[in-house]
Amino acid sequence: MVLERSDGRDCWKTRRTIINVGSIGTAYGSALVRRGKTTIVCGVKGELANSRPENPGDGFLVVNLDLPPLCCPLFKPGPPSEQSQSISQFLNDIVTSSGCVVLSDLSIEGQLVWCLFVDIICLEYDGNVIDAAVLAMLAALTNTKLPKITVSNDNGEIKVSEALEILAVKSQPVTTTFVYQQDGGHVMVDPSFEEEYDAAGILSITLQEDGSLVKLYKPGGLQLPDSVLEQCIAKARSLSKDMWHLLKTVSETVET
Amino acid sequence: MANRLNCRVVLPGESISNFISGLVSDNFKTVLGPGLQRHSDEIVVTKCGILKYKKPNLVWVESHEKRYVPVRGEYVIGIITTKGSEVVRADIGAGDSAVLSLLSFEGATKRNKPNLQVGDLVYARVLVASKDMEPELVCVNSHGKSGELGVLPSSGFLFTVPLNLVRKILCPSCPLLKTLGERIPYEITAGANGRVWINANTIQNTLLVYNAISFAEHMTPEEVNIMCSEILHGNQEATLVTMLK
Amino acid sequence: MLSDNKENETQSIRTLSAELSNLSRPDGSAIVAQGDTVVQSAVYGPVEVRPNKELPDKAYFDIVYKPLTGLPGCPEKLRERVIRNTLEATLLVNLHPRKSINLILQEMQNDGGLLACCINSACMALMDAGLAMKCLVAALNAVITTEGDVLLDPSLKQEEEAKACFTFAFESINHEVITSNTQGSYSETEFKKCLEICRSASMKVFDFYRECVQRRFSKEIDR
Repeated sequence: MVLERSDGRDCWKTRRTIINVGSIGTAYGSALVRRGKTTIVCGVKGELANSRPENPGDGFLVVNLDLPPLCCPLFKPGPPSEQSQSISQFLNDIVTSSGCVVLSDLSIEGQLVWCLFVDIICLEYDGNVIDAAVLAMLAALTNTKLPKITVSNDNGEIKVSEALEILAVKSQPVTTTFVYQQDGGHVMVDPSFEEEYDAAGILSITLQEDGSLVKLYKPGGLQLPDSVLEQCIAKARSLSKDMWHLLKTVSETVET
Repeated sequence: MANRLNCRVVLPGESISNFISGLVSDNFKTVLGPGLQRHSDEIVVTKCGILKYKKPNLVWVESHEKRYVPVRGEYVIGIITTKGSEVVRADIGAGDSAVLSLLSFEGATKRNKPNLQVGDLVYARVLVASKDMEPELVCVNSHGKSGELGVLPSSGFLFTVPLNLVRKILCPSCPLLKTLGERIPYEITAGANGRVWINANTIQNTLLVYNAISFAEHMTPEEVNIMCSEILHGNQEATLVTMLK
Repeated sequence: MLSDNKENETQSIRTLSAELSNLSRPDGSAIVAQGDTVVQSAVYGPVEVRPNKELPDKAYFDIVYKPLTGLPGCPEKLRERVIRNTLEATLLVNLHPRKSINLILQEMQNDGGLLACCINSACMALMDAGLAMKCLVAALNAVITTEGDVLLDPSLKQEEEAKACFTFAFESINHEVITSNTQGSYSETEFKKCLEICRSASMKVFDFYRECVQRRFSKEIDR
């Protein structure tokens, strides 16, 4: 029996993904990602900072995700919710685990380094914010151009030149999220808001282009048989290919 | 086979269907008590503790608990927290406070209601205990008589113990309360919600009873017997040694 | 296959020790030490719920995780979320609608495998409180060293030097995965290897749970 979902998709089909990069002129890099109705905006801003003495020459990269009341009535104004904080941590973990941005690349000269703020805001919440946020973060970082900074040898004066340098992004982690309703039954990829809300469990698999896994995140919920887990990893592999293809097309269009 | 059995330690998730079918004969329907659930054909443990069996067909899990969850028909000690014209609220140590109608006392009428004060202790029976509703207490039995139920005298001493200890001392086979009574004149009211009220002739004796009950938690029946006989012979020092063991 | 089994045998977890009901006021408490990682947990419940957290069909399961120093930040919130969802899957929360079950975890000492120790400690506190549960849960930690070897239940130093770090939680009936969280990059084979090693080690944790309960009720069993 083929199970059909409320929006007519079959269980292993994701929604349409739209990526728009460089949409925010004031940021060093930016991207807007839509996954179905879920809309995520990501901007990269940078400021100059001194590196920590324990890791000299290492810059900083801070990812932060905001789920404002604007995107869903479930979220209340006030300090960041546990959900947004844990997704922020998830994104930070992905950056460190995959090494997509090497912190030593953010060094400028001596103690002076870049501190990059990757701010992600959800404009519309229709489930699966994790996948969209990872995609937005990656697209924005790939699109990031930092002004060249020179430090004069005589008086230590910092000069910001007009010339821009592209930020090196070393790998492309892509996350695929699944939900399931009973233990191991009715697995669905790319859940909508309702599917996510009713799910018995959620599973996010992050892969890199070389086929290695970066994060297999299953925060509790009902237990999952190994066979289903393997099936999900295999599906994530094939679905991630589409995302890498999409990211490649995006960067090619930007270049031309 | 013995009438009562403390079978073995069980943990949540364990299936005990086979075990039970060896215990309860096919002529009886098995009655599952606390800590057991039926999932289609299987009987699964939901609490960790000792699996107990009582002839002919009762099976339950006795576990360590401190928080009371109301059960219909159980006797509890409540503390009056708020007072209304028709009902009072009592704290019975559960998640919700319980409601006690002022008309559910012996001989109470609309005109002649008992005079309860905030802070009074009542020994009452749980009439309504549903997970979706707040519990309701009564201080009369089905014949409209108070029996032992009602307001407790203000002179006693109330303390809280784990629920399993109350069940232990109330068990007919436990010699503790009876043996204590042979030496010390005292009154006791033990609620299933872990509250125990005692009143003896002197403060020393009240404390002795209190200590004896508190220490009984981790004692085997034999050890309880030893402690009791020492109390019985008035050997305070030896009693203390046994208690502190 | 044989060589794999042999390897599993060499993998052992650090000494587990625990004390149940070590705090007198909470409804259930446990302090669990896994090597030098120590977590204290306490549970209250089912108790009255804050009106804005009330759920009509089940108990609200609240977790507070207290780090050793400082205020809880993003990493602690993620940990809190993982612990909550893991244990909520084992609790029969539908038995106590419109109530709240509160669990407090205090990190006492961290020498690696903190998340796993938190989950185990929380599970033991819930067992101690006599709350109804579907099954038990055991969490394990493993790393892949830079040489590519799997190391079960590493210390904090080994964890920091490792190429990848895994935390898994298994349920006690079919030993299926409830929780998985990983750090660093690794291949699928490495993942499966770690999963299996942790799964077989989870039996030791379940045995330990049984041993603790057995010790506690030892005086009350008929012999």
